[in-house]
Amino acid sequence: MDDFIKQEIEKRLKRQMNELERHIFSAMWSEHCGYLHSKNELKKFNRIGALFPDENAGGVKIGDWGVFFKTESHNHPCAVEPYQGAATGIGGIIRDILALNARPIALLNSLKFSFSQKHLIEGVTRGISDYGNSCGIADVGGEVIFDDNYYDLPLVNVMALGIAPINEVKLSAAKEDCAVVLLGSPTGLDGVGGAAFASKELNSNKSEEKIHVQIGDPFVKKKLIEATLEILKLEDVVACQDCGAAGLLSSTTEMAYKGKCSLELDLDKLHLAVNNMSAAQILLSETQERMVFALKKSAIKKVFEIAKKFELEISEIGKTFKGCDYVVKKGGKILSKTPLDVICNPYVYNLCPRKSKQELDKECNGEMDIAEAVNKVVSNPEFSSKRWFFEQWDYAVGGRTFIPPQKAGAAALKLFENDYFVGVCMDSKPRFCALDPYLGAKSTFLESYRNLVSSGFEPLGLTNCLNFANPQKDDVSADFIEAVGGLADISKEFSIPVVSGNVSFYNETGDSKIYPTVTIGMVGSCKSEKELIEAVFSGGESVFLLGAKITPDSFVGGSLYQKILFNFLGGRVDDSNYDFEIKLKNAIFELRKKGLLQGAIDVSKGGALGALLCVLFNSDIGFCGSLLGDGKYTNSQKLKMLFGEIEGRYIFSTKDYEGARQYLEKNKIPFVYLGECVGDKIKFDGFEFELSELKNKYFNSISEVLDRV
Amino acid sequence: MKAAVVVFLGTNCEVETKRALEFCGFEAEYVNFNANNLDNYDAVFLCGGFSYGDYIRSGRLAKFTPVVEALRKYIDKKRGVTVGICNGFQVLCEAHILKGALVENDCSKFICKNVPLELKFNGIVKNISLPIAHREGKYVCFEDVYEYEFLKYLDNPNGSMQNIAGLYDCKNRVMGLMPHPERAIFARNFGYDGKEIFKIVEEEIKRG
Repeated sequence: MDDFIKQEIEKRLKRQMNELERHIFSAMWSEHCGYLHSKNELKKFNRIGALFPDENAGGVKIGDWGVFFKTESHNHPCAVEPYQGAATGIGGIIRDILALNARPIALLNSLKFSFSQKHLIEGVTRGISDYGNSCGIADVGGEVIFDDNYYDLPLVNVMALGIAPINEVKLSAAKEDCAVVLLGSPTGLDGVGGAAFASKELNSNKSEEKIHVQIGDPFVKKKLIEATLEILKLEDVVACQDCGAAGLLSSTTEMAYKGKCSLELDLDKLHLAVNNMSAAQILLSETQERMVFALKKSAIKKVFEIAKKFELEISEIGKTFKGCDYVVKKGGKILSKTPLDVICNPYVYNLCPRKSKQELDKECNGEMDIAEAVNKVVSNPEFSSKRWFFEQWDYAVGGRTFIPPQKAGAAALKLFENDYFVGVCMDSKPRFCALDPYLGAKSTFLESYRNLVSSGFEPLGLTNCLNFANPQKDDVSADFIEAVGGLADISKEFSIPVVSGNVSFYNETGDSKIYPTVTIGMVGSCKSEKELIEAVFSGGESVFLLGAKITPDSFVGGSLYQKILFNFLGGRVDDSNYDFEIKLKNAIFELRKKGLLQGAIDVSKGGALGALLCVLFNSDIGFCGSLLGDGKYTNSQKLKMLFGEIEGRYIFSTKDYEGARQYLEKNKIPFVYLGECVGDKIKFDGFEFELSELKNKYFNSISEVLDRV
Repeated sequence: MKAAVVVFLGTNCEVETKRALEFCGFEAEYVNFNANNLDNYDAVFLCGGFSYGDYIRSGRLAKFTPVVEALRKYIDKKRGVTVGICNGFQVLCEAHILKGALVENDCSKFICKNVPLELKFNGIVKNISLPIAHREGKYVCFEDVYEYEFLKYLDNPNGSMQNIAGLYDCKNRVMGLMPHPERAIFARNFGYDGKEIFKIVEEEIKRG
């Protein structure tokens, strides 16, 4: 804690902090818990239409059900202990959903690594696999990005999604005269100080940091999920909070502060894993698999019986009453009595906007033989199939998964409760955000948006995870302001609310820092199985490109091909056009309704050719046609047209060439006819490739490296 | 036809197993691990998940529960058909109700994917596909289990002996399989072949 913050706290308390309070404030006023550098900016987000955006997780309404979702980062723990770091990241985000009385039904991951750090890739993947699979929550999708920018700074963003009838949602505000109960694993020394650890730059000596990483137990978590959902059915249970960052301290203070009452904890009453823990250690322990409840005295007996049934430990640890203080007792003595409005209202910084705009005029002019370029792109780990990852995660448990990972832009889950389908995806475009945080954030939003649309879903809401370096540095804070601005503007424009979110700062070590990385999780819905669209084409179908055309003047900065082929990052990022995107969405849905659309994919990584190739590989079908048309272009212009990434484009297939063409012409929707799905070769503009050869590279390039002993 | 869906602590496929059973014409209800009588049911399903955290070994601890004791009696008196899916198969092997054991996959990773299988039952051979999701699914046995083989991998994903994906002990009417038929009922991406397994269970119940 720096002097300025210390003075600010003591000014508000109008006295000096005692020893325990120093621990309390170091956690609650940390960046991780208090959002000191981000709170002011995050106010800009559009929340209209969101369900409970101020709770542990927010949601959207689908039918008469609430679908709640949130992302969380576990970047710092994964850098030092990838297996437990990833596992407890999953554990934490599940509890956020659970606290609302929503049953978690899906997980997604957005992972970033340097491809050279095999131990991090394997550790994180296995951590997710062991933990998520055991809990019985389907891991339905997400993304993996490889870039040396993330060397030693892996990003592990996880998202959970749960469902609850809207009128059965439990909130986190306690009331006066409740008992406070702690359910789950005995509190121990693991993860003590985790929130503070996540609020600073990483130390180069990682073994020293391992004490701050929590340890997960998926078996206890599974029992905790079932027990919590049973407890929250009881009417006399008033509020629920999960123990995440800053453990018992943050859950109980927030509960009382939101409920406008005092809360007293008696630390002698807790079930502990080790003897002789200090008050600060008990409050700050981040032992996993714990939930806190505030309940009326009448419910205590029933709640203890439920705990017993699931073989979980439970203790009554305190009470609420009229007032506005946080009281901590141990050994019969009151150790601290602190006003909750000081604990829960940390000092908030105003960030400085950018003083001078950087120049972005550089263009990528590299040249490369097209055949060589195609082979390079297809076998690049970032472009190629992420099957190696997804097959280690149970994407089918629960029996709701109707579109598994990589079969379409978004995963589809059936809500058997009301027969709707939920679509969900998770995306980020770090290189776009590095070039232009404002447009990059917008572009990320649109990527998710088009992923949902191309899978047949109407987008409804989003969550975000903002990963940045040290916000006390001017360029980082400026990046942050611009990225939040981009996301806020576009979510208003599209009337899609930001329902929840998470910020992870201090992703830097020594001289290196991460690209500003905006991760978005977006959720949509559709009403029937018929409306689902997969990124699968069949033989004999015609392929159309829908939307904007790339010209030599288009802005394609940030495109993946530039990095793969020329290790180039520069140029301007394309801007979005609201009316155009809506027009394309309506066209996709209309074509589907008329039976004129069989398969579809949005155009993103690898541009038009990249999108086409992905579908052909997944569908195991060849292609014959043209992507460049008749014009005369230089080699670098051709590369740009084949692989460049701009906004507002989809590719779809149809059995009815004439019908689709007439519909598009009549409605004045820009399109290009690309060709036919046919045979076992991929032919365009004079180039020819064996489908099986490219497909093999696409599916196996990651496993060939990672499975090599 | 009334089926019990046994729920141990850590079981996590009970909901879709019950749903699939009901879709296939069964009446189904959950039975807790404390239950000590199963005589009410024509079939007993031990479903997928991680019973008791799969501590020590997959399926190892569940055999100490009252419901598995009750299951032994249920099988002894030939009351009905027993089916163990994934973790349920592991439990049946650990309890020595079926022969052999399920050990870690050759690749030492969890595998979740749809796999092609050969289903051999009552002299009829069919190719079907079902999803698998396990890390400990490699079947091994020191004895010859040829007479019990009813489901085999066509492209062995885990190193199982004789490509075994499932066993059926016809005499005791006990079935165990690693693939998840309950996941291939509604979800169009896993096909509808799960119904084949439930159809066999139905036939076996009727056979008596």
